[in-house]
Amino acid sequence: MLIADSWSKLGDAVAPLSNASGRPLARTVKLILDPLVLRPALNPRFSGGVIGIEHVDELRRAILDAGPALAATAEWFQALKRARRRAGITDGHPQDLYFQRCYELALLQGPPGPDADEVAAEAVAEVHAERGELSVDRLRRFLTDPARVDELSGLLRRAWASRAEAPGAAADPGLAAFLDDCARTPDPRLWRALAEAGAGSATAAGLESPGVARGLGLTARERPAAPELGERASKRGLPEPFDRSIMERLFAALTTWFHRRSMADVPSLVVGEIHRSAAPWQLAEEPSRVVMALGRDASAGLGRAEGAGAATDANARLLDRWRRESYVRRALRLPDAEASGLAAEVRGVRRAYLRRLWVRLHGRELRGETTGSEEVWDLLDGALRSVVMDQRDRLKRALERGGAA
Amino acid sequence: MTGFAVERTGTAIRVGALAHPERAALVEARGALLCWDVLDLRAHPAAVIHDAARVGEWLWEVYGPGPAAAVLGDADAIAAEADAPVPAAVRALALLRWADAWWPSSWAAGVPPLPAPLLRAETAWRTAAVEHLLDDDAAVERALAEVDATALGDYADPRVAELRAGLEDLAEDHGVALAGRASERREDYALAAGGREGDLVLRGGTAPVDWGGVPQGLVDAAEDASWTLAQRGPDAVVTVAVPAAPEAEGGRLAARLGETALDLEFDPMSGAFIGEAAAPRGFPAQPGLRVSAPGYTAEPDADAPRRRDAIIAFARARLAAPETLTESAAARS
Repeated sequence: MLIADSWSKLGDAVAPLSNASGRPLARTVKLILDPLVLRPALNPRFSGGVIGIEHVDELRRAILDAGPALAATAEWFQALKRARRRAGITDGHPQDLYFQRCYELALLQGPPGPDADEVAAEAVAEVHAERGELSVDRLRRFLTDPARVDELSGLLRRAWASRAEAPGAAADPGLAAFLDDCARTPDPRLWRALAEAGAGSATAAGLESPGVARGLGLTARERPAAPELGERASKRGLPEPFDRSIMERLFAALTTWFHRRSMADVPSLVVGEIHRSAAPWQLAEEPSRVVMALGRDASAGLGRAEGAGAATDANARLLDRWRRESYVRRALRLPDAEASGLAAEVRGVRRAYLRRLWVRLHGRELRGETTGSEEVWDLLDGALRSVVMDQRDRLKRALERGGAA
Repeated sequence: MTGFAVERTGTAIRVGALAHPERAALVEARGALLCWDVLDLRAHPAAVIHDAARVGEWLWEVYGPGPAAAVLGDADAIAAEADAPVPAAVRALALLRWADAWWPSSWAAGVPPLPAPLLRAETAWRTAAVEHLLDDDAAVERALAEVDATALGDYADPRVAELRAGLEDLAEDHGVALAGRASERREDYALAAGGREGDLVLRGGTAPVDWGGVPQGLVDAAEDASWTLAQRGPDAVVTVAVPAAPEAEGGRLAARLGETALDLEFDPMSGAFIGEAAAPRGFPAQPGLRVSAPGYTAEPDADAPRRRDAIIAFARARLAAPETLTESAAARS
């Protein structure tokens, strides 16, 4: 309400960053206001709409003070869109790609001046060049270069041979405690403590037991095995995450995410991926592994017919989203999953969920994004939303295929 | 002013109650499901809030600041404020989404179909207007992907041209190319036998079609399915016919008449889905008849006929006083 109120005072100058209700776009909040305007201005940290009464004036002032910069950002966005049109570029999401760059330009140069067209063309070219540099082609050439294949295979073999013996500790009670609070008041100290204690890696020990990783949807094998380097990949029909070749793992990330400014070059990406594949949960950072452990526990019971009660608050919330979905599907008059031949998918929702969560964490690692305690719930919940929306799309397609629509 | 009871359960805060799925105009908002009942259409929605922290950012826009605070506090009833800023915009989206699923197009009841290109275009536009409070962070892109820009060119109404221009702008902001989609007409109609001249009809009957068992736009919303048992030469045959919706262009249905399963094919000549089968020995006097589309399950309930009449009346009322370009265009058709 505070944000909306202060935002409305900025008027038409920020219309390109607003929706028809006059509110800042979701992406304006996510990419500009929250990280670039509010967080730097407010100490302690502003997070997701929860703000102490003592910071109300600060927040209002932060937005109003940023007014001129935001107006210039809006103008730059229009300029970059024109430049994009002139360059005939159609891929990527312009708001995702340009919003932060526009804010940067606004801070450095103020509103667009006489040289705006050139500056905008340069900025657009830069954003898209970063993408071109890391093309899938270069990745393929590097991985299949005969001069390197032996070296890379050796590296992969050694990485897997020297995998740390899993400690196989008892479940850290901190995981359940964190899940109880993460949707409302995530505890940053507990979050750090879990990572420092290696609570994520500890849970990975069980994945080596027969059938466990398969039960979680992460591999089709009885036990996870070392991946291949791989020679090709396609977006369709990618195997389960642990069964993907090094090529496929990087390919999936390269084609899904556009923000590659933060990504390493091809050789270090490949070497990094080889080491990552041999690490617990096949992820490199302990916080990511903790999120996998949390996701495993929070998703217990998903897709099963009414079972036992929820173990934690986060578990209850995910089960609740899933239950809600059946009402929503009926209200949207979607076909019945059982009768549409999608019964297995519906029952396998937990496996799909953990796969999606892994892929997202993997992507965050490649982009060098760290995960703070206040982001965990969005990750856990967002992965389920994404799986649920995919299932809806599939039901819609089943309906169209049926020749009914 | 809309009054609602507020109830707190272990995991949710309920503001009023969700409507039956056929009557439910839904918007999935961030942290809550908002629901208008089309048979009791108010300014403000009922809601099931499942994430109080997330709704805190926008709930005041829907109910007004005071009532929103009361919902998130400990009130057991609220009166939503008449001048809350956003409910009209969210309601418009909810009603478009409802129409997409449940619009009761019918020859029999004189309810014309809604023009799909306009419906999708307006849905995308309305989605973008309230994207800041939607659960799906890709809602706008998803809605834009359904828009057929070429088909919008067929309308002379300047407001449609304006809508189209707005959508093109929006699509550019989101990096989506608006598609002109090839229409998916099915040309391979099988001409189904619809009983023949010379058949001696022995008896017959009718049964309502469960809306939840078929998708929108396939079956005439106001008509019943009918069956006959007839003597054809030495054989006994049963025939089932289901009048098609005005916009139906093909498709199949499955019927179960007593113990007999029948596949019904769309017959463009008669505008009905028709199928026949040999009548089994000992064909019952009062066979139950159930019809559903592939992928759907019919679940008849006793309230259905009354609810449907009311929904058809609601649709007629909307056509008489259209609130969207989609409804205006349908009313003129």
